[in-house]
Amino acid sequence: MNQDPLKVLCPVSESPEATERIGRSLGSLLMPGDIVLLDGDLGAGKTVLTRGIASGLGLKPDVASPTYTLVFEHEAEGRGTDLFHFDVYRITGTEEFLSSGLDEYFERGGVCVIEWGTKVEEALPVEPIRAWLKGTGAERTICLRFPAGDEMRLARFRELLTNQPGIRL
Amino acid sequence: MKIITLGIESSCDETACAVVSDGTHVLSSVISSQAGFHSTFGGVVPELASRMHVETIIPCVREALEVSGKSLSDIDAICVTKGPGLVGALLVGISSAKGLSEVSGKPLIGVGHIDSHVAANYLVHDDFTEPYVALIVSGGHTEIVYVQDDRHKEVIGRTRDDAAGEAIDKIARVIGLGYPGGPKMDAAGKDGDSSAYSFPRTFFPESFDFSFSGLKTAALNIINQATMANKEINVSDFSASYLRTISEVLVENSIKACLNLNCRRLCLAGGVSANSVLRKAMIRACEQNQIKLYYPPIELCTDNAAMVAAAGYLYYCKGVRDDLSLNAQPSLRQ
Repeated sequence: MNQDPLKVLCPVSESPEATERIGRSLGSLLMPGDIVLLDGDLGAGKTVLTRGIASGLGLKPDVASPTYTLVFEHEAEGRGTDLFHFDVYRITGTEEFLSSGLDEYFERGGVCVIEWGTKVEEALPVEPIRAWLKGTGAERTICLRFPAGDEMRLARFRELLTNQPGIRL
Repeated sequence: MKIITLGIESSCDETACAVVSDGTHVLSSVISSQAGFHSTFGGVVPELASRMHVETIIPCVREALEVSGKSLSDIDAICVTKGPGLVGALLVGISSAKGLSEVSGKPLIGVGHIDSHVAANYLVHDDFTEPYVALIVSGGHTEIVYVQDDRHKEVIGRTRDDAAGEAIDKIARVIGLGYPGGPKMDAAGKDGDSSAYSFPRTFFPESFDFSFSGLKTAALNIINQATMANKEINVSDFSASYLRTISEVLVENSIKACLNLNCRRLCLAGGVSANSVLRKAMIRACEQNQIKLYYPPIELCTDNAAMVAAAGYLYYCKGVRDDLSLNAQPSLRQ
């Protein structure tokens, strides 16, 4: 991965609560049409991060793992932005993603978060925000990379994370 | 006059069709499972699942009618799983049901998958009736539902992250047991020492919610540490300990819900309720607390269409009807 500090930020989370706060900060910066890819080991905190993103989008943080159904729809119902939470753990790749019609969610004006998303990146209509989660122990490193030209958002994200408990930059 | 319902199920990897009389008597139940097929891939492959549903659904319907001795004109309602589930897979069942409803002129009823799992208990227990607490536990669900009467139903606890069956399947895969993880881990742990490994149990104060992701992470850490130390985990002991932990959490919350609501009936539903460790633990806990426990036979725990027809009967009696605008609801919450 390109480690250019203008494009990549790698906060270290010291707890699931801190991971959720990182997600919340990220969520507050997301806009309709954004796609976030989450990659990392089983148990690294992808669903927890997504729960934070949901609350950052103004949704109820009622986010469970969509492994079995592939996608959970979290509709804003008036306030906030819709979130479509995918888990493509069980999908073989882009072709299957497209033939299952899952790309239709990209047209629905919400934010799409895709766990194990690198597998289906060729299906994406826009350059995504990428997050890599590392470690399954007490500390997790969460590297985030914004698309080219999005330096402002990355800078704002860094500001939001500064001096937050349980998060080291 | 008996009410005859036809049930169609295609929410995951089973294509199934059944004919049920009065929501209680199974006249036929045909299941075409893809589990053997998907085991090659370590889990359900969604696109393949949809395609296989397309191929098997009509023969399934035909066979269910034939075995039941009924024709489409004898059926009072066509009931189909509307969600939650895989969207492509659900649509196969829903489209077929719409077609059948259209040609026969019989009402179409979309049924929630969770209601179906619970309704499986009506097929086997004559004395099963409201009020009751239901624990629905499967690959995609871990929910506690309180059913006060036929109009008052409330989800009082659910998983905040992974479903119990998902936590089992994922770890079963990591320790090399393969898919489907539940039955394989159950068999592997049969003679294992269930106190050999210790895993965290997560409870939430004043809530019946579940969380299994911490348990999954703890299991992964034990496996990773063993790998780094060039040691092997004892799969039998590990399976026994892991299943015991999950079962204890499921049992404790279910019993707590019953006692809290002063409800003396508890039913188990969903694929994981076939797990022998969970059953034994739940039977014991219910005996200790004077709670009457209901659980369906194993063939009605996993996805089937008889339960859809049974739940559809209950919807039918309440006057629920759908039309051709019925759509799949992959994230349906009941």
